[in-house]
Amino acid sequence: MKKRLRVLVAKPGLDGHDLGARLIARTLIEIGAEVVYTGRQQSPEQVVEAAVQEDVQVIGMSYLSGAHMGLTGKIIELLKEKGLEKEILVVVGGLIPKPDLLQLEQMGVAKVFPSRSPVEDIVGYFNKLQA
Amino acid sequence: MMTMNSEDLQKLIKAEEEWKKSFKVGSKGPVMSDDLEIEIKPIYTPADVKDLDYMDNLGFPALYPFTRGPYAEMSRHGPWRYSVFSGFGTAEETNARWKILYDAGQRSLNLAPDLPTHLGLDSDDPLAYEEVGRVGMAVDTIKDLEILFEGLPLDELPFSSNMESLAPIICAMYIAVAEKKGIPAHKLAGTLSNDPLSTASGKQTVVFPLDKCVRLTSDLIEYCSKNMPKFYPVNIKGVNIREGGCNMVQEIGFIFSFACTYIDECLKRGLDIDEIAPKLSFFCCGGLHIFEEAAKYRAARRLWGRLLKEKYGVHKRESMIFRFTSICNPREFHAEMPEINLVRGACGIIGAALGGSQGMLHPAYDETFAIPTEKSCLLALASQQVIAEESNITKTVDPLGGSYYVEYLTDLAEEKFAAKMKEVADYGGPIKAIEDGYIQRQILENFIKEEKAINTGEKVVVGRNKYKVAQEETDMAVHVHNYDSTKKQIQRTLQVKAERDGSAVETSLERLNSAARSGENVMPYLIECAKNYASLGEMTGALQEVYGKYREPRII
Repeated sequence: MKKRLRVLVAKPGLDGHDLGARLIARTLIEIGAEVVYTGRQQSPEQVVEAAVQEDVQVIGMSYLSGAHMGLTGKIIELLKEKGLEKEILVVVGGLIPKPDLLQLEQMGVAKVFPSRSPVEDIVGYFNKLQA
Repeated sequence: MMTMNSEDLQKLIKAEEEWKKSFKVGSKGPVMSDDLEIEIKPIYTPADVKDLDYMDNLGFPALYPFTRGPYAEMSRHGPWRYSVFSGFGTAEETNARWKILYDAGQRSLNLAPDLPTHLGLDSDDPLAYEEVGRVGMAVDTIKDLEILFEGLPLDELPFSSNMESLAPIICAMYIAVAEKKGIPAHKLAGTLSNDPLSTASGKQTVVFPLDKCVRLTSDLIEYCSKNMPKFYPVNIKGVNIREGGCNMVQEIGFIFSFACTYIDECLKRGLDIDEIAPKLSFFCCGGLHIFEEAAKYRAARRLWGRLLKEKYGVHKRESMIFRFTSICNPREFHAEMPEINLVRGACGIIGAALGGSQGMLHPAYDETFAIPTEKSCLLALASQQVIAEESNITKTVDPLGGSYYVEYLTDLAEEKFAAKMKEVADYGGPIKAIEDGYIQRQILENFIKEEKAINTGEKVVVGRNKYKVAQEETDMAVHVHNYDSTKKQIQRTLQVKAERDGSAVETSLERLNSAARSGENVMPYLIECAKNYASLGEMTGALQEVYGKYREPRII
């Protein structure tokens, strides 16, 4: 039997455009994951706290306003402070320009899905995680 | 014209049946329209509009029920109002962009504030740092607006902004700047979004609990109806929810429900319906389906006219007019072969023009993925200019009037919009429907349906799911964020805060706070705060102490 993957879908920063985040949340529920959605306008501290409280294995966050570098860096830093950077995977999606993709991965992001990534790719990735 | 005697009608229906049989019409299956959730028939004939009475249902432009348009000659002798969205980074950068657009023929100023400004955070707030000047311009104190308006004739150019639940604060700052320049408020023209209900349903930059937001919205409507005859204090925004995923029926059904909520609040204060109704304007959002969109606007005008006349008993003709600006839904724009978005945009403009749009704020072809460049902004403006002034589309009023198909769609759309309004009212009204997530859930469901249709190829997107061509990866110009601008902005605000008369700020904020507590209209107090260089964050804070904070339902 598959173990249930717990995912925190997060919307860090001030942007309120969360259709993408909610679409992914819905998709992950459909493939059997347990999903907690933070709601919008979350600070990095709130995101990490929610991840700890909800005992998730993955934080998936969505950015559309361009604030992904600074906020993701802060979230990874906070995870490191708590010694959780290996236990909790960080996945990023949204409007991520090419040059930032590599940098995010170097920063410690496990996987980046820039906007318009095929849903099958995202589903495939998460299915592997819960295999 | 549409009426036929029953004998002719029977003949026609029979002839249509025979025609269908002999050409096997319809044998390839139904063709559906998601916009109105109907099947589109292969052909429409007088039989489909047999109950249409010309004078009752169409009439003449500028006359009830306004199906054919709100003004007698519409855009025959001058184009609709052109605009494109602009505002990024600092006041200096936006001011420079505005001057270019002004020289290119744009006769209005549209300000897009950044996210901290929408949420009532000053640039020096730690929560704001990553987002200062990112998706729009930072407005902290009137110092920013003074720089923004430098060298532009404030009393000649209408000012608009998509500021939502904090629109009264931006408006107060705008009035303060104008009055300091010696321009009295009654000379100012423009439009502010000021529509927290659509914001709460869509992109969610709402600051106060919804009933308090509606209070504030009405404060601005009341203030403008008494002091600013040329200003439209509320722009009810279908764009917030259509961009956010809903379809046409939900768009109009929901925004008309929101509009009624604002009207009802104003009436509760004893305002005269004929004083406030002409102050309401709308901002709709259309897709690429030319005929459905044209029908939508025709139907919305008629439904609004009937609603105001029958439900609210208005007396003045101007009170019955559905005034709207339109935008082509940026959600229809795609990143693959981005230049082709110019053609998509043209379809959007044509649909809106045929529906009688009086103003268009057209997105740049790269707007969905990046902050538009100077070039893409100019192309968006020129797209409208070509269609309005080179294509002859505006030379007669409502050219689709009398089309069997479009009249049929118009009737059906009106019916569906009214049914959606009833559904919201039966639920308990928009505030309850949003607080419970009822409206957001519907929008999300529709969005998911549309995304699935793109993924399965059911909805064609050229270059993305059909007719894909191998091409070099387009290097979309992404706006590089400039942290130096952020630092400069923070520096400026700190400096303003250090140099202003601190005790005047404190006193005016206290007066604002007690006005909010007593339930007085807060507009005069906001203007006083703004003149003293109180910041947006401080004014928001003073109101939040009384109003509290908005809590969103989390819908997945």
